[in-house]
This record gives sequence, C-alpha cells and structure tokens, in this order.
Amino acid sequence: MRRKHIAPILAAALTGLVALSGCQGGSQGDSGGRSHSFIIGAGEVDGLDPVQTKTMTAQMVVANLYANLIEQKMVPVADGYLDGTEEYVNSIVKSYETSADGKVLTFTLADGLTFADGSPLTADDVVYTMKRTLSDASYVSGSSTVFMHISDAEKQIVAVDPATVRVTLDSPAPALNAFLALSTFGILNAEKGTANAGANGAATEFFVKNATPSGPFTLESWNAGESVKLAKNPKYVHAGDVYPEQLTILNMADEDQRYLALKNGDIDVALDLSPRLVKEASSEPALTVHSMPSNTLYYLGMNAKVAPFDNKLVRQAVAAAVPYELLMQEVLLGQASPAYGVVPHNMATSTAPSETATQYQTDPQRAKQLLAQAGVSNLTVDLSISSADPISVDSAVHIQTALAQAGIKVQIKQLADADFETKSKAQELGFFVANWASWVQDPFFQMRALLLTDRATNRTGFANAEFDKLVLDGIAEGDKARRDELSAQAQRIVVDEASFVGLFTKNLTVVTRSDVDGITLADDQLLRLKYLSRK
Amino acid sequence: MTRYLLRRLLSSAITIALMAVLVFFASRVLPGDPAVIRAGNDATPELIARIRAEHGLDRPLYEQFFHYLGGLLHGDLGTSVRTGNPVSADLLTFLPATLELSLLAFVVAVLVGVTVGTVAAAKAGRWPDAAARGFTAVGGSMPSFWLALMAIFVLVYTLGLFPSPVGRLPLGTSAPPRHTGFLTIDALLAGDGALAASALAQLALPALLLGTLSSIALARITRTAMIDALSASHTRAARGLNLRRRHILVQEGFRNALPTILTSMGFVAGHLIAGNIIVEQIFSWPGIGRYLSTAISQSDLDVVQGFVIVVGIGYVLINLVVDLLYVVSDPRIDLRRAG
Repeated sequence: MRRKHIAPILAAALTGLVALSGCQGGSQGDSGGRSHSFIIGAGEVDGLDPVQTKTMTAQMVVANLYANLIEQKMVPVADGYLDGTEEYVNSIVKSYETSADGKVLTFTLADGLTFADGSPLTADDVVYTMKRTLSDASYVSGSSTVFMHISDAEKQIVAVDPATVRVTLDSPAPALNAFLALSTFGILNAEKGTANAGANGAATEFFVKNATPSGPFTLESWNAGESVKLAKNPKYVHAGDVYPEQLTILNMADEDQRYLALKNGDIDVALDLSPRLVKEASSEPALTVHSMPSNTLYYLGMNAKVAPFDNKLVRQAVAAAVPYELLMQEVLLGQASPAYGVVPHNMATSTAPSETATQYQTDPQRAKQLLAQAGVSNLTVDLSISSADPISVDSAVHIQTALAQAGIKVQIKQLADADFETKSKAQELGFFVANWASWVQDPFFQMRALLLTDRATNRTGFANAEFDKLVLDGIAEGDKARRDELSAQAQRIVVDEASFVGLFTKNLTVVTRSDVDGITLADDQLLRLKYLSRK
Repeated sequence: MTRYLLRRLLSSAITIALMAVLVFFASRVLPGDPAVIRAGNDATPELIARIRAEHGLDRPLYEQFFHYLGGLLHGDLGTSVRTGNPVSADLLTFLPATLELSLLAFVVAVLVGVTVGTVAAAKAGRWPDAAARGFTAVGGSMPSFWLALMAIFVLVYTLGLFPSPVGRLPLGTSAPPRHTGFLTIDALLAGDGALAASALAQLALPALLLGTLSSIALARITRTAMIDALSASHTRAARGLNLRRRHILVQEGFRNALPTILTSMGFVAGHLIAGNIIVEQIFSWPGIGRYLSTAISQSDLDVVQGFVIVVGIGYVLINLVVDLLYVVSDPRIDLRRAG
C-alpha cells in the first residue's frame, strides 16, 4: 500500500520544490527599495591586495576600499557620465606641495584621519603603502619605480611627522600624480601589515584575504567566487559625498545572465557586456548605455623577426589591406573609435590628426602593389588569436576576408588564453591580434609597455634603438614641451615600421538601469562607486 | 564480504595512484607558462624566475613529480598560482556548492530518469513510450547552455516560478555561519528555516535543469534494461502464471534491471560531482566547475591536478558503492567469483 504512493509523493516533492521557488522568487522588475544600495553584475574577485589582484572586478573593489593621497578629478560630460580629467585633487591630504626644482614633494594629511576600524591613519601608513607598492611584493613595482622616478624607496619616502610625508624624486616625474591616484597606491594599515608580515614580510597573504579600508567603502563580506558586499565607510574623510550605503558586486560569469538580470531589475549595473548585448540594451527604455571612449587598443602585431614579416613592405601591405572601418562597425557594432599609431587619439601627445583618422587607409589595391614590390606572391600566413577574446576572434575573421582580397591567405589559429599569453610574450607569434589598456594615460607608459625592446608586453618583437632611446629619454624628461616632441618622434617611427598596426580603440561600455547615475570613466577604467546615485 | 571489500579497496587505491601519476604528466601538456601568467604585464625575467622557484616549476620534471607525490601523501595538493591559496583550501571553499547542487540534481535525475525509463518500458510501443523517447531525443540534442538560458528566461523572468539565478542565496541575504558548507543545512543548524527555504529555492532551478539533463541517459538505459528484463523467459513464465502486473514489473522487470540501472546511476553521480561548468557559469554558482575552468585558462597546474584527484577519488568511491549495491541488490552475484 505504501509503495503505491511513492510516485505521487515524489511528483509532489518536485512540484513542491517548484512551488517553494515560486514563493521565494518573483522578479523584482525594478530597483524599488534599493535607493541607496546598488547591485553590480561583474566578474570574479581573486583577492584584495591592491598590488596582487589581477581581475578587473577585484581591482575595482580595491579601488573603492582604499583612499589615495590624491585622486583624479571627475567632471560630468554631455553623454551622461563622469569623465576623468588630467587634474588631480586632494583625497586624504589637505595639502600637497612641490619644491621649486620639482624633486621634493610634501604631503600633509587631513586632520583626524582614521581607517574604517577607527584606528588612526598616519604618515607611517602612507610610507608603508608606498614602499610596499614599490617593492618586490608588488606586481607593479617595475613601472611604478621607473615612472615615479623613485629608485630607492627606503630612503626617498619618509614620514616627517605623523601628518607629513616627504618624497624625494630622482628627477621631476610628469606621470607621478597619475600613479599616486591608482588603486595600487591605496593606503593600507601599516600596523596590521606589520603584525601579519607573513613569509615575504609584506603581508601578502594577509592583504589578499583581508581589507583595512581607508576609502569610501568597507568590506562587509566576501564570499569567494560569489559576491563581495561593501558598505559605506562613515570614517572616510569625504563620507558626506558618498551616496551609496551598500554595494553588492556579484560574480556573474555569463554575460547573457548579467544582461537578463539587469533587464529584469535584479541588478543595477552590468559590466563587460559584449557589443551585441550593449546594442540590444540601447533599445531598452529601462536601461541606459554608457559607451565611453577609452584607451583599450586592439592591434595587429607583426613580428619583424619572423618571415615574411621581416619585410617591411609586407607589413605595410597587410596594414593597407585591413578593413578598419568594417571592424568598428561589424565587430564592435559602432562601440569603438579609430586607432592611430601606438598612442590612441585620446591620450596626450597623440600624433593622430583627428579623432576619426586611422593609422593606415584600407586600400586593397595598394596592398597588392606593396606585395608586388616586395616580390611576394601566394602568401599564406597564420593569424594567432586568444580564443578567450570574442572580439579578437570576430576581428580575425574579417581580417582574413579582407587580406584574401589583397592576395594574402590567412589561416586563423585560435590559442588557449594561457598559451596565447605565453607565446606572444615570448615573441613567438609572427602575426596576431592582441589588445592593451594602459592604466596611466601617459604616452611613454604606453610605448614602453608595448614596444620597448624586450619588455614583457612587447609581443611584436619590435626592436628599434632610436625608438628605445626616445622613450627612455621621454620617461626621464621633466619638460613638457620636450616630452611632447620626443613622443611625436617615437610615434612616427612606429607608424613607419608598421609592425604595430592599431585596429581600433574599444569603448568602455557600462549598462545601467535608467535610474542609475554617476558612472565614471577613470584613466584605469575602474568604476569609482562613491559617485553612484539614483536619478 | 570483508575480503571482497578489502580487494575492492585495494583496487581502488591502485586506481587512484595510477590516476595521480597520469594527471601529473597530463597536466604538463597544458599550454602556457603559469609563471608568465602570474607575473602579469609588469613582469621582469627576475620576477618570472622567482615565481617559478616559489612553485617549484624551475626544478627538473622528475623532482617536481616526487615533490608532488610527497605532497599528496601528506594531503597537500599544492598551491594555486592564481589565488596563492592551498588548492585543498580552495577546493573546500568551492566543493560544497557543487555537492549541494549535485546531490539535489542527482535525486531529480534518478526520479525522472528511472520513472521515465520504467514507464516507457512498461508501455513499450505505446504513446508513453513514444513520449519518453521524444523526451530523451529532444533533451539530448539541445545544448545545455541554451537550455539553461531559456529556462532562466521563461521560468524566472517570464513566469516568475523561480528566484533570480544570482548565486546560492537571494540578493540581500547573508550566508549562515559555515559548518558544512551546504547552505540549506547550515541555515537549519543556525535555526533559520526561512534562510534554508531561500537557499533551497535558489537550488531548485539549477538542480532541476542539471538533474533533468542528467536523467536522459538514465532514462534510456533504464528503458532498455527494463525491456530486456520484461521480455526474458522468467518474465514470460511469470506472465504465464498470471501473476499481477505490478509484481511482474517490479520483481521480474525492475529487480533484474537494477544492476544496469545502478551502473548508470553511478555514472550520473560521477558526472555530477565533477561540477558542471556551464550550469555553474550561467547560474552564477560558485562551484568547483567554475574554479577549474578558470584554472585551466590560467594554466594553474596544481589546481588542475588537485581537482582531478579529488573528483577521481569521488568517482572511485561511487563505483565502490555501486559495486557493493550490486551485491546487496542481486543475490545471484557470487562474492567469491566477483572478488
């Protein structure tokens, strides 16, 4: 008798599960009830150490947990977002003085500063943080040291008194402010770091898992792989300007899911949506698309040490065959700007004649002529791309078609991302599509990273002694006019060599519910969430 | 029985040992240099060398192998190059989410698969059988990512039958104190029935989806095994004796088909404990499937090895349980011969 009822009981259990879900569920449809709290659909947080995190979401979290000495000034622009300017304003300092020779910087901290736990924030914390970021414990120490002109952090960064920090530079550093405003220089609690120094003495294990917030938000919880919850930090020096009371940053790995959740009002902001979904979102009245010109540069790399790209005419022929406009329209669906050389048009000293100029003109006939001049026919080349980047994959298909018209047969090789990273950084790929976004809007930072001989991120194998000298001189140069001239000369060499062909700069796109305001475009492309508000 | 059990345990241990050796060398075939990936864009040759040294990647392969084996014997699965955490700690963080989902999905798979297969066999050639075959054919031919997205679109956002797929708990809910890592159980241990219900509700759709997808193979095998059993001579004899249909279906059909069904259930359970990357991705489920997916893309060798070993042990244990269930379920199995 009992057995007779097993099937109905099981069926009832399943139905019950659905019913239970129905009771618990129900779409919200709007963001009602969340006036001061925001939910952001993003990616994974891989840690909380400002100088160790690698994912963009983790870096965004860190940028909002820690305050810097200075921060980038944001101004509203017509497109409805806040754009980062070249001006830097005081954050936790009340004054910032530079000596007449530009080599000695004196920072005076604001009065009564504390960390979120109430412990005082003093000059010792600033010194600890800066030295740590410039040490081996940091993955950004190399470039930071070079561009900030601090060759010996131990001696050059000192606490004069509890409220004063003095930094002595090797020479004036034009990019210094941009570095000081990066999340990697967010002020950590020195006492906690020293108490938890760990194996490497820099408290890496501690700061990867724990936060000592000094910025606009505190860490409420971090469920690995799932979500991070931030709450407004009432001890933050500018707490009165912070609108959000609570932020939830969800790890939503699937972009379609992020989009559906946003459309349904479950989340307020969706990051990193594909051009297809951004376009779809633009026709939804409940959503707002912020498509912001950024410096994420997609480029075609041709390794001059690998045949047939050791022939400059071949490189120029390829550059002439690439369908630049088509890529922007068909792959990015209009969410991109033309690229010109190695320095994007929206970065200082760019030699681009206008915002719409491309580095090379699409001209298949000219490509054929250049190939004929090079004495090359029936050319077949492998185009390597990372299979993890759909934009590279789609671009490669269009490039393949366009180059076929110029008589070049392209075989697309999709590599696993780790494989692509390793091989391209070892300069083993002859022909590839890659991308780059500098955190610092400095032309020499950009050129050093992408093309200085044997830099880790010089994937093209570009090696030009004259270029290297111009870039290194530019990094050391304090005079703006001279710097601009050095930059222009270096850029011209890159265009002429045609090893590095800019394809387009991809816009940074952020899609929000229509009632969300305060999206920012900082130089490092990390959202500064304290500006979020409701319309 | 004890001797049989010991033999099975010994063969399981040998299987795990062989797997450990295999996975070490197989993971070395993964493309990409984890040290280069970890070092990032500001890398210098010195930094890359230091990372290699820290993770023992600069040692000869045989040294790495013995170091790895030594670690395994002490329960050390290595350290993730990406997170910097011990792999065992990371797996303990993510495994409960997968197990909680997999257990419920397994229940669904068994309920649906065995029921559909049994009904199809009992009504072979008639409309319930055609419907069951339609279910397995259609379900088996649909990509799981598409099915998952459609399920979310229709069942969550259109009909509102399930809560939003935003992870293991609804938005704005805090997790209970961690004891088991199973949120439903931890919530009950914390005396919070409402939270347990919320956690169960979040589980429902991914579990139903994963369970239903997993039930397809089970339904097919159950149907085939049941049809074989129902057409066997002993069943025809039972019919000739005018035994009740229910008796024929259960005693002659199901009991004789059970070893085959148990084998299939073992496969389903093994498949489920490995996590389902697609379902975990789409439902924002923080399980080991997603953890592995990221590790592979970053060439995080210790994680890949640790994952395979832990899941492999799970497989072996499930097979052991299935083998023992054979013995319990089928008196015809002679332990002396089976051993």
